[in-house]
Amino acid sequence: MSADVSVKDPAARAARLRHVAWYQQPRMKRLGAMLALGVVLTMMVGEQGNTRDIFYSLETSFTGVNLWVCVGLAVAIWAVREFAGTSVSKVAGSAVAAGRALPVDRVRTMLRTQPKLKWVLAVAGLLLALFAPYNLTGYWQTVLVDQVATYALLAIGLNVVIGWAGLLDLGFVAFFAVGAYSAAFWTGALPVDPPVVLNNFLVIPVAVLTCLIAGVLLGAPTLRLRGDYLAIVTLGFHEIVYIVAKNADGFTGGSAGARQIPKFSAFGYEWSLERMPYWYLLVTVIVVLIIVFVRLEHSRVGRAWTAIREDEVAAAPTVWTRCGSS
Amino acid sequence: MSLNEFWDYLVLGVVLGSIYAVIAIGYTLVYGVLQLINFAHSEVFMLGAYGGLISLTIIAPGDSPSALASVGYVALGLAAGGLFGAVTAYGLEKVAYRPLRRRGAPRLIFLITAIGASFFLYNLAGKLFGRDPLPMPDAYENKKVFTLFGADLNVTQLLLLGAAVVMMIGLDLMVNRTKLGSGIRAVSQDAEVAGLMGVDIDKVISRTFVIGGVLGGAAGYLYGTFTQVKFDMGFIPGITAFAAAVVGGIGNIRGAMLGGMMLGIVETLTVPVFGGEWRHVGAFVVLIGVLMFRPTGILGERVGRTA
Repeated sequence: MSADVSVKDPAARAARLRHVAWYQQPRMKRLGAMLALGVVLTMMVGEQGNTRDIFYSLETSFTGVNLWVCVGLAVAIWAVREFAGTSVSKVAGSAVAAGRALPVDRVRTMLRTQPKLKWVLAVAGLLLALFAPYNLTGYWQTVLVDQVATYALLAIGLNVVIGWAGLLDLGFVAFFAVGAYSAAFWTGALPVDPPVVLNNFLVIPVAVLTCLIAGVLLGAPTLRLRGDYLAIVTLGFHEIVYIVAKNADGFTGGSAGARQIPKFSAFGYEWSLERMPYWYLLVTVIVVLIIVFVRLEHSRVGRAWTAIREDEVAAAPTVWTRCGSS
Repeated sequence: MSLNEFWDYLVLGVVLGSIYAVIAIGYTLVYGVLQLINFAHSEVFMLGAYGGLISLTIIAPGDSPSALASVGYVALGLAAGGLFGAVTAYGLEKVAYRPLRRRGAPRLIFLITAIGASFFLYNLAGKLFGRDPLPMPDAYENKKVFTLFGADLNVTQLLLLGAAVVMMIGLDLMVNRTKLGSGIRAVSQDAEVAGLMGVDIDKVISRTFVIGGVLGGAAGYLYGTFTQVKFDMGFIPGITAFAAAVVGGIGNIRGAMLGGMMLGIVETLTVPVFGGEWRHVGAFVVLIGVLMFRPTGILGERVGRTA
């Protein structure tokens, strides 16, 4: 190939620029990605490694039949997607391209245009939450109480901080710990005795107050910080809380933690080892909180949060003076 | 704490600080070009340590290698660590961050992706290599070299310090003197304009990840010789190094070195004063204290767009 010919001829140069080698074609790139996924999958489903022989897991994964199954699966998926007519992704892609709304967006529009539907859905969801768990096994009821409901509660709070105010708080869960330890303290479960032992329901406002104080203590030095600086400081705060909780044996019970926290009780009723009463308690709290926060979102404070999220600098002179002075 | 003890701890602190400084550079470089806290950088560090471990397990230095062989083994460990780190960082950028960048995802999504990638990688490492700590195979005889102000310096400490200083000087020269370095600086000042001036942004970002990965992986090998190799070893050094990058002023490479050194010394000096279990608290208290008085770090941030 003579270089000077192609240099002189713009069309030939452009053609050379446009030329893609076989391995650069999108289809082959996707095959490469799928092969890599297959290899990762092989490692994920392989044997648990051990420290006596660090190659054990790699050896068994990559010499056994697993590798061929996983890679074969990956290639099969690739082949089906590439060669078997219209695949799911193409249908979805063409819907977007044609300007048709996706199912999610259509439901959203429906909800916006028909407010009654929203209420119907909310009531249906609530009824489902109240009565469906009876049919579940004990394990799934535990999952509902321990994980689903607790995470939902945490997410409602996190949504305020990150979602509405746009403050990147990586130490949010430290307040979870502060609340838990103050609950343990005021019910007398920690090595140190509280001045008065409170009922669990009375502990909730006290724990909230403690978290409030902790929040102000953290907030005061960090008010000047923006974005990622706030992230690392809150992460540091989280680590400090974690290490203090783990190491202050005399106060927090160290890594063993506090175990003997009394059960919830009100008006002679005690939440014992049954799971469903806890579920109803949590559902009540979540519903109340959702109502409160939905109201809060559109209140003056809520709008201030949104303003801070959108532009802190612009929000400073307008929103806060109004909120503060009125 | 007697004066002798103080010197001992100070030496340890400087050694640890130099490692933190090298890791912190990885954070600060990536933050410079992407404004992203790359939480998965701690896993780059961890996999670098495993790279060193694997290479030295295959080569298996004997009980008392000669001085020349020791140098070779250490170089191998560093190279393998750097290679593993670079591959991990490159893969992360390609698989996790580039698709998000193409679609213009909000910054929170990047952060969550980084945390998710970090979880995935360290659990994968725990699955592949077991979940118990492993000692790094000795590449040299760890003996006392000389005494400075009553503090004994052994080979490991000198190696860590020397390697870290060489890496830092090399990086500083690279960023300030080479074409790629000026590309990195241009992208961190203003990616859009840098792109208009003919800088291939994708390439620069990708190479920035690779450079950070090499440094992080090599630091992982060094840290592994200093302590042990474990699948979750990256977490604490990772967040401490990120804190160091912030203390020094994020996006500012010399700031990252200074911050790393500072937090390493503070962390080590916390041990004799308050006890070993409080060591990580010291670093974060310093972080919060510094940010109270200098909200953009000691040397100030060097990022074009601040959001």
